[in-house]
Amino acid sequence: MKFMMQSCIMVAGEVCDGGSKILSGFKSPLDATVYSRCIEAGMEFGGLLTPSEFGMDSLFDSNDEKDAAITAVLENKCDVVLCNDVFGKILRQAAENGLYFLAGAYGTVSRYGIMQMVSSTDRVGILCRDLSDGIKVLNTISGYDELDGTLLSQKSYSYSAEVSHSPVALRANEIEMKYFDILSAIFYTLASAEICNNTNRYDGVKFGYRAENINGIGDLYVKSRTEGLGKDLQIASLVGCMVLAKDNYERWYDKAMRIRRLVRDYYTQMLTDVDVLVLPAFNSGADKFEQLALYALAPLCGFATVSGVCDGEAVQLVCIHGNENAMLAMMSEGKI
Amino acid sequence: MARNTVQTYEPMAKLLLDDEARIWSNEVIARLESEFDKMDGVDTDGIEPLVSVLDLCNVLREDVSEKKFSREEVLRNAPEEYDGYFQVPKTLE
Repeated sequence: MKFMMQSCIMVAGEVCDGGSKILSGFKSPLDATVYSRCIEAGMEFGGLLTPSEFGMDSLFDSNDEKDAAITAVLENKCDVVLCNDVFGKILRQAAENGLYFLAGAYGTVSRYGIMQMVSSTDRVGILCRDLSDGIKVLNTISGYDELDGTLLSQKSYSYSAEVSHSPVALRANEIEMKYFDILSAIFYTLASAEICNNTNRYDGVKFGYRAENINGIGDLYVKSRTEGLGKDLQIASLVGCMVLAKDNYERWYDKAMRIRRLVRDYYTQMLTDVDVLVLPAFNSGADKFEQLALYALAPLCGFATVSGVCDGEAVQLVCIHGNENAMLAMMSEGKI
Repeated sequence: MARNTVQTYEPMAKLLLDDEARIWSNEVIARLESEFDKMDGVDTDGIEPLVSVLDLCNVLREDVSEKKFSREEVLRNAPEEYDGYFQVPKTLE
């Protein structure tokens, strides 16, 4: 099996720029654990792909260019692509293009060697043409890693699309989707704060792009970041500073963390009673910030997801950790 | 009119936007303020913040010194280096 990765997932000695000018020419000193595990499993590495900047989607403009990962799989350049899908672009475009995008529950796949964006929700996902390939790769990359302190202790996982019962699903329009109207707000409040912190390191000092004609250390930071970061990352950094600022912290950031607990508890209880929640993979009547709500539920709660076409619909299936086989069986059988 | 503007946060984010970028960014911020304000309608009295979805706490390793990278490896990506150090403009007057 041949795999490729977004360049925000590191390979030692390779140029890993994460799709950003701020990391132009950066050669990684280390291998991401997910990369090492794929190589050890005998998979062929087909190279790195340039993502949207660090895997982010442009939430505030209408540009929806096909991601390089989607194109690579559609054009048979590889069987799977490992991605860090920060704002749901890969999930959405996979379903739009007849592919699958599979992401394990938070804490099951190592993030060592992944360029951090939203540390409390980032999950390495697998884009694939054939769901059985995606499942094989998920089994390969998941499991405890001592290099990542945010993982569950289980050493390995053995997911499959076979279950002994018929999976039970709930559709979004059959239940009260509590907090759904503010999921985008909750997610972006928390995400922007974490992105702001995680991208402070891109300052032109130790690696990456350094501006020219600088006048002192302060000018070095400001010019390098202003010239090197794309506008989506700039707005996320600015909004992150805004929600963490003294006057806004309690009203927005602290509030979002508390509502996150309510969201997690409500949907975890719901998904304890059934196997799978079925959500649309996209909403073509909404802009990308509004559509973020569809994507945000799973990462906010740490759930596993798979997107694709199932029963003739472009959907996202969501489940709690432990019900992955039922979710995969439903997508594999193509019947909700 | 938005309560917050990007100009307030540019120094914190170590950014300096041009006029066009500021106009666009302030429009985004104005929209986000109204989105974030929707959270006011949720009662969170007695609810603790959720920092992580996992019940992990203080995952530590043994306090043993490890040398992961050589000086040469660490400096390999430096925009400017001098005598084995990262070189930057003067930081103290």
